[in-house]
Amino acid sequence: MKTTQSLSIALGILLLSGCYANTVTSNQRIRKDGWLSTHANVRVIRETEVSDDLLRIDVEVENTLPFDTRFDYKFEFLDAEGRMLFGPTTGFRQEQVPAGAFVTITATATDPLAADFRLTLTNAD
Amino acid sequence: MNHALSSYPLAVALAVGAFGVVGCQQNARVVTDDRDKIVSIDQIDVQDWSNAADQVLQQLFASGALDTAPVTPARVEVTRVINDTTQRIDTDLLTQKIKIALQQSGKVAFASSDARANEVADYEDFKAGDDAPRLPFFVINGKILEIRASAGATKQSSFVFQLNLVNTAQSLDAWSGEAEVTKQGTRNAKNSKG
Repeated sequence: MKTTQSLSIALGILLLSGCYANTVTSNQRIRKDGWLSTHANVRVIRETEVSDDLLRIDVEVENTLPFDTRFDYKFEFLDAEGRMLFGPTTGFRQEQVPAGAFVTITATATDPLAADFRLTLTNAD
Repeated sequence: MNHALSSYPLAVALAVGAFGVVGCQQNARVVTDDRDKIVSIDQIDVQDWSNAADQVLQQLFASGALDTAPVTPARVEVTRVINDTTQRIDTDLLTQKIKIALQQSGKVAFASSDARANEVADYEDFKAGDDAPRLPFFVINGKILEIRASAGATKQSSFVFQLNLVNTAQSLDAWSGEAEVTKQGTRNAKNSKG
């Protein structure tokens, strides 16, 4: 009986921690997981054009944790109809951010058809 | 009975050993996520080429240098990217990514290095009475360097990718860019999480 109770408690804790680890916050454009869900504050998103017609995105990410940390990020670009655009350099990059400070991550679309973007911020540790 | 009992620990040890051996093995799989790719300390990994190309392309597009060409798309040739590292590397791993991205932007067109294509184009020019050589407006050249350092058992390798876009009409560097990839650790890692 006691064993069953202990097992149930252990299973409950495991499930809860599992749920926490998989927590994902997301809006239309930015998806975050892990510590970033609660402690990565996206301060500014700047959308500009460089070289006449190429979409450039600058995103300021603030680390509200009391220690230095790292995160991975990936930008993807979409055309006006929501279709994913191929880019030869698309992939995850890693960034370090000091405690309480912020970093600016950037990406430039190589295709002038780019009209929108998706950003994934994910735990690197 | 006694014999069965004495062989029991041996059977357990064998089972644990077999489990350990099987546990260390990993079946091959296709890796599509950069975070799952092997990180080597002393060599340029496949994801590093993409990272370096991305850094220099962002600098190039932001500079506006491509927009100085009198016609669009401007003709470009990649002349030479010097490998000044201790590794034997194919610099096309960098230049091809840059070519794809620049062509995708519609701002430049790369001169082909295909002998047959050049032969056909020369013949077409000859038929049309056009004897002007096909000259590039821009030339891309560059260099890849390596800097190593260590502190105790920790090793560090930095790879620096330098590129120049030369305006051939004036023989001036219209743009120069640099990207750096630095890796540190005591041994290679199976993925980016170390």
